[in-house]
Amino acid sequence: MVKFLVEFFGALSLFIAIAQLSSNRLNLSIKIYQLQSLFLSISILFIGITFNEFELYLSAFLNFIIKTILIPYLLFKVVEKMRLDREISVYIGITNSLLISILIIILSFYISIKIDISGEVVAKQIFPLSLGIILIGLFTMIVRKKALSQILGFLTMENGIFLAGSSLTKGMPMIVEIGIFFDVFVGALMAAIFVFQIKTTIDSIDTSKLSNLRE
Amino acid sequence: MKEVLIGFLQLFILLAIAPFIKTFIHKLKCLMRGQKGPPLTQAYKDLYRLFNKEVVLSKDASFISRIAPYMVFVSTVWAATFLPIINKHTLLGFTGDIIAMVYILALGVFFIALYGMDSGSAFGGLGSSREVTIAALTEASFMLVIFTFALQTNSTNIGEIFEKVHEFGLTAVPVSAAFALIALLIVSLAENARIPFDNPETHLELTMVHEAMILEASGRHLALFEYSSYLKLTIFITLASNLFFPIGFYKDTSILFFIIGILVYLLKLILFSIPVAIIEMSMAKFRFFRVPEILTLGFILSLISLIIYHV
Repeated sequence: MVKFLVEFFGALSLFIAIAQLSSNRLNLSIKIYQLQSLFLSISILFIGITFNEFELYLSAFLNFIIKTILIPYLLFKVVEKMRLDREISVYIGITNSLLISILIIILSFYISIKIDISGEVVAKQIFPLSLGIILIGLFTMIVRKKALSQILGFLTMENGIFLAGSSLTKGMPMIVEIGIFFDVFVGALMAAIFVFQIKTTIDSIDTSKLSNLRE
Repeated sequence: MKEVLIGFLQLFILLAIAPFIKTFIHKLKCLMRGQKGPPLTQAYKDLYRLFNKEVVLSKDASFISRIAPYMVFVSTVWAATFLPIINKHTLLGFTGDIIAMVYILALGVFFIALYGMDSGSAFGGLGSSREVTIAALTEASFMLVIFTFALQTNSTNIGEIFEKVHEFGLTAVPVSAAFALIALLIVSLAENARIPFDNPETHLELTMVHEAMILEASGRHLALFEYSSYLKLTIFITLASNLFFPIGFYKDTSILFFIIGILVYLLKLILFSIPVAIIEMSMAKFRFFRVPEILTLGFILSLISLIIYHV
């Protein structure tokens, strides 16, 4: 039953990653990221219950605090302070990028059949799911023009890596985990400052305009 | 003989519970907004009141306006006769499977779209065009969700699907189930004209889809349309609750199991109505041009659920 819940919430995280591709507002994207982190923490909590490791409970808790509350709060602040244009802009339209995401997911499931994972695995499907989240996060970074959407794509990728890490390794050592959380948080902070710089320099956070010549 | 009685009982439960579910969702929304809300018997009273009123027909209305309400109602009830809720013996279960049920529901959509265009008002045509767009886009994902379960249980007979799902549970294929659940949620909201796609409560001309088509209806005809929309919502919720919450579906046909089955069924209906109310509370209606994107999302999720089942 617990394994069922691990996979179920992992699958919901992947669904949220796909839903990220279909959002058309920056605020909505941040909310979707928040929901994804919530599902991720629940999934990690159930992995923790399976292995009964203290580190996994701790990382589920830290995941909840940092990724569900702190980082979204920071990003909401950025959107609010800079009075950004809330519309997203894309290289590939929403419908087409959703259709491409099917191919990505088929690929990630197809690849992971070939990989033979030795040792104890909490749930068989969790690895392809996290691979799917990583690749879709990457895809989000590619198709979105605005810097903030790209940050969200990066954070989605990081969520996928975290899910894969927790499910395959029975929880990393605590010091590594705290280091990762600190890295992600500082990364998001620096990216937010970067967005601010881009906004003040070129008056927009559209990264496709970064290559325009200026006097 | 016993099977026929069980079939009648299940149909009767569906018909009796349908207005209650609609009022329950409305009441829940009102409570979350901090309003008092209507009493839980409101929909029954509405139906009674409307059945006693006379029908006013436009002078331009053809025979379609006369037959469409009955066709819509009959096709919805017909679909309901295929749907087992606590036991696999249904009234017409031997004549068709789950695919037949989906397309019989689509027959109702066809007649309601004709009705919208028949009276020649501008709103009706607009509503029909939108409704048909949404119906065409949801159909594929609905069928894929159904095929996922048909493959899992090696059957398209709806009673057997439910029975096997209740026997084995969903724990064998959690990933597939999660995607199918979300896809079915999107499909149900779109098919039943609920909030992100359509607003069932307003008569604001730019936002309505379903209401625009039945704007001309009055009296008995309106009651039939309303009743069939309640019934359709209940059919979808029953389908979802029996597929994704596999408790309370018994092979046994003794009285005790029936009573337990019915009680569990009512609880499941209430449980699955809550997310609908929460979504309607927390979201605004989408722009119409955004609807295809969300329905594409639903299609993709159902396709992924089908693929993952095979991997």
